[in-house]
Amino acid sequence: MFKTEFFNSLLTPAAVILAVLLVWPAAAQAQAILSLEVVEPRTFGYAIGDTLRREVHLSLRAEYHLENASLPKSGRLNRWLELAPPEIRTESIEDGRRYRLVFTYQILNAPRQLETVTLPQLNLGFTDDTQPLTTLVPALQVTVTPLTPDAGPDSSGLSPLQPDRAPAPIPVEERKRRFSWLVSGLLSLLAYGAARRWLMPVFAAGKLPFATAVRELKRSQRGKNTPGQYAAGLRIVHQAVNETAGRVVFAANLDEFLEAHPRFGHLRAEFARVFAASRKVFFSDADGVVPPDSSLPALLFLCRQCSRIERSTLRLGP
Amino acid sequence: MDAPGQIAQNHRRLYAGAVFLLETPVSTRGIVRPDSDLGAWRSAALKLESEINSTVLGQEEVARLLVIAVFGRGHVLLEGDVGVGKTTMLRCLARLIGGGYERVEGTIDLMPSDLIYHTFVDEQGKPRVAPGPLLKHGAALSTFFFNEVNRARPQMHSLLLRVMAERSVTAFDREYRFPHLQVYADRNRVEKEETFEIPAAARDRFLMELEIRAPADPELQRRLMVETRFHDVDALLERLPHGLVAYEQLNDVAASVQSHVQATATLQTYALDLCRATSVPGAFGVRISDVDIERFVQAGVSPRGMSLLLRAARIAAWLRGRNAVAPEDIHQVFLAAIAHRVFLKPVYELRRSELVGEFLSQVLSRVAAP
Repeated sequence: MFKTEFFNSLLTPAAVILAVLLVWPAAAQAQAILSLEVVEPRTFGYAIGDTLRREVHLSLRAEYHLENASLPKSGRLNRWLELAPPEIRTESIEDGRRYRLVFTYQILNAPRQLETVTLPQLNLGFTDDTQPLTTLVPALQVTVTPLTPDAGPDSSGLSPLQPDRAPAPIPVEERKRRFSWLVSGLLSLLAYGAARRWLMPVFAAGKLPFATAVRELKRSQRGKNTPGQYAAGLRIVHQAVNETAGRVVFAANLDEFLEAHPRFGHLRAEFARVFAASRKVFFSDADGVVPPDSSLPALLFLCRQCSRIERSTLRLGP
Repeated sequence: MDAPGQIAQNHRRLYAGAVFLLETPVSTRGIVRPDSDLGAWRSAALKLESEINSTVLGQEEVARLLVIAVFGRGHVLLEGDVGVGKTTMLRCLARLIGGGYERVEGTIDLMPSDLIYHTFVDEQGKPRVAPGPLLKHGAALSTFFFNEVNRARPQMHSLLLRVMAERSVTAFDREYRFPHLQVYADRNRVEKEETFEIPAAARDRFLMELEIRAPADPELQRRLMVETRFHDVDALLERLPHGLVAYEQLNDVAASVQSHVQATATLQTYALDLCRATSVPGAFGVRISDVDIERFVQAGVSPRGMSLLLRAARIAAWLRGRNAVAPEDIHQVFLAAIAHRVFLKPVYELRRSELVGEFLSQVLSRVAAP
């Protein structure tokens, strides 16, 4: 690159070709064009990335004007060149108008060997609104040099083609740690869920209200058969029902309880019987009288059924 | 009992030249009804309730509680909006149980003497003293309605306290007794200016505080508006039988009911627990959202409140045809008999109306029976 610029600076004045081209064929053309001057760049010593600047100074008579549509389109021209949008400057002169057109090309390819590249010819159109006319700037050939030698000296490690440098490794330790935290967190959540689903019921089942009631009723059954025994059994059942409901359940709001806990719904008659018996035992004027149709085993049977239901509810999860 | 001449003489001494026009107090007939009569009394009580319900629509619960108060011989604090039928209900009740009915309006300048006598100059130009609303009916006074009691001054409250507590008042150097008296007082809750809140001691003497709301049922509202028989209260009351139950026997009947209806040991424990839960709600697991329950209650139910609660529950059980109190009898009267006895810490007192109901229903749902 440096070399190219050096040549540029050194040779540009010399390389400027002042080509005053007299365009002879048509008389009208001769009439229209006052002067045409093309400033070409040097024709050698270019490498990839270099820019070439072609300047066209065109002076037209006053009644003529340049047709912008005739200017070459900017963009990639071929595999070697790209044309920047042309710069157009206009100034009035004595008996007409002068156009300064600047075309900047850039070399976009690097050859293996010295290569000749052609800057295409330019057809510049102009008109006086009655008749279209053109003038031609001929193509220009320049040479493009390779950047690397075919085979560099091996001693300094310059093998003909260097392999691509390996990318720097991304630091992943932090990510690994975070990932392991995430995985262990997920695993413990899974473990918690599994424990809640399968393990806890095993432990909690023994603490459920009706399970406790079953245990206590069995214990009281073992004792002596006293008049207070049935009343104590009723108290145990009441406590289990109250605990299950989360409030005190009376005969009056038994339906409410069964509605909130529909799993016990099919035991409605049994519950009603227990509540009626409890009413007789606790709140009738003959205090503590055991109704003949009630017995402790019946209470135990009801509590066993309820205990089974509440355990199945527990397995189903909250 | 003093002879009328003696009274007049006393008063002549006090008010020279004044003629006193006090009626002779009617003596009670003193018929103690045996237990066997309680069945008949119960039908009478239920008839009383149905008559009230036919006069005042949509107040079945209040009517039942009023009947409980009548047979529990307790005073009642009424609360309700204007025009919901408080006065009609009381006039109806007074007519059905017979005896004297008086109504006074609480005003800021009402003084105790205004209830006892009033003085005037008669046609002959002589100063006269006539008995005031409290003494006019003598011992026959059975229903005394004190409207807007919190508009009256504390002097009036203390008189009321005495009348309610002892069913007697001292005037003209002697004591007048009203053995059959029931006091009904209405509290104005709308205005706060120039009102005097009834002291805790007076509030505690009321058996119940009844909240009377306009019926929400549109059909009842339509009937109240359209049916002409509800337009003229006097005519409406006129068709009621006079003295459906004999007021002078109510005390004896009430006593019989109290001894007839049993409360089992379990029920006593339950009632006691309920009352204790109003004092130490935290110990019974009572919770109210955004209330610090440990700092909620200033004073729970007093011993008098406990006894009145059970008294009312016994009547409720009796009206339901039972001879033992069950928890639902307590539930029926609990809110009415207890709500006005629970005194809250000042910080919660302002939100009393919204909190007390929730508090008591929490108490009912937390205290186990048995």
